[in-house]
Order: sequence, then structure tokens, then C-alpha cells
Amino acid sequence: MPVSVYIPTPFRRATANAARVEVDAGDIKELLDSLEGRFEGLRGLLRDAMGQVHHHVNLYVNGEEIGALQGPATRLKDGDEVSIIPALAGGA
Amino acid sequence: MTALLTAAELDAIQRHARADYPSEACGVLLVRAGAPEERRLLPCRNIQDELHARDPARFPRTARTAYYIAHADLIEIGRREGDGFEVKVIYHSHVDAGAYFSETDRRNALVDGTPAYPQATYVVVAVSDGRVAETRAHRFSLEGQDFVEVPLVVDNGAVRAESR
Repeated sequence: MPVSVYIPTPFRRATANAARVEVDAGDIKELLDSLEGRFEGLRGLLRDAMGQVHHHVNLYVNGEEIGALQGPATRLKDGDEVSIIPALAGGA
Repeated sequence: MTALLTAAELDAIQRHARADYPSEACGVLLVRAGAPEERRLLPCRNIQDELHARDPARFPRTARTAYYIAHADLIEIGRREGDGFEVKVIYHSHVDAGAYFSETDRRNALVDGTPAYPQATYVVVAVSDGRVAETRAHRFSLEGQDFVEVPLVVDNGAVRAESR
């Protein structure tokens, strides 16, 4: 089931500058496994050594954050749009 | 040398910082690669208060001491980058504090030890009592492998950031 994944600029060095890639995956965890398998450079950028998605990395399915869905177990279907958005943040 | 900011852009950034006081303001300047006259200043929405209200353990700070650019703005930035723009300036304000580049700023500007936006200059506007006290700029130095302050020079209505 191909879903379209938006790759943010800071991570595009790992995807040969591709801003969108198509991935076959049944849920978010499978999608991350598949992305990391295809793009070695994404390893470490998306998840920590324990396999947890980094705190500063937000994942959206059709505009909804996965935290409000079923997290990494969130099911995906044909044509879904997944966005990977690292935070742009800071403070005093 | 190409201006980092036009005088009008610097003015707009400082006005944004004053208007959002006592919250931190944030935004970016996008410039088309190879065509520096094509520029878009994008004031962004700081959603830090919403994040703090939803999950104070993960987001202990409020917008008074932190900023977090709204996801819709990040998607818009990504879209413009796909159209050939580069993130040239990332700005935010500090409320009743100096225009330094904080440890939080530094940590958040790096992805796995390398700058997330290597072309970008980080501009910090210090607002005290609702007035702009100072504006300073910081950029990643390849030699030092860290962020260093770059002096902002106002020259003929344009603002340059000079490499040290």
C-alpha cells in the first residue's frame, strides 16, 4: 500500500534531496523501518538507539499527529500522506 | 556583499518581536537561491503555549521563554524550499533577556551534530519592557564546528552579517 512521505529539508541530505518518497507500509513503524532500510542516512535522524521516535521529530498522517492517533501502531492505507516535521524551536 | 536583511525586513522582524511581547516571536526569511532580490519574510506562529498546556512534562516552558514554530508554517517553509527558496534567516525574540544564542537555541539548531539549516543565520531580538533592546546574529562556523556570533552591520539601509 503506497503512502506518500514528506521529507523535510534538514533530512533531505539522506534522501538524495527528494522531498517526497513513496513507501509501502501497513503502519507507521513499518514505514520508519522501510525508510531507514532504503535511506541509510535516515538512521539515527528519525529514531534513537532504542527505536523511539526522537522528541523533536513529529509525524503526521493526513495532517494529524500520530500522538493523537495510535502512535507508531497507527495504520496506514493506500494514498495516505505522512509528513515528517522536525521541530524548529528554541528559547532563552 | 548581499544584504542579510533589508532595513524593512529588520524593521518588520523587530515589530513582530514587540507585538508578541511578552511571548517569544519567531519566523524565517526565505530567499530564492541565485536570485537574492526574490525574498519572502514569513512571520510564524509560536505554538509553545499550546504544547505546554497539552504536555507540560515534555514542554515545561511557556512562550515567554521558548518558541516552537507551528507545523503549518514548517510545511509552508518546506513547500517554498521545494520551489527553490532557501531559509536564509531564522529569527526569534527573547523576552526580558539578552539577544544571546542560548544552549537551547544551539541544541535545537543541530540535527545529529550538524546544522539543520546550514545556510541560515539565526537572528535573536531582545525585547525588554516591550522595547527592542538589541538584535544579534549567529551562524554555524565550519571551522569551529559551532555557532558563533556574526556582527550585524547596517550599511546604506541594508543589514549585513559579517563573518569573523
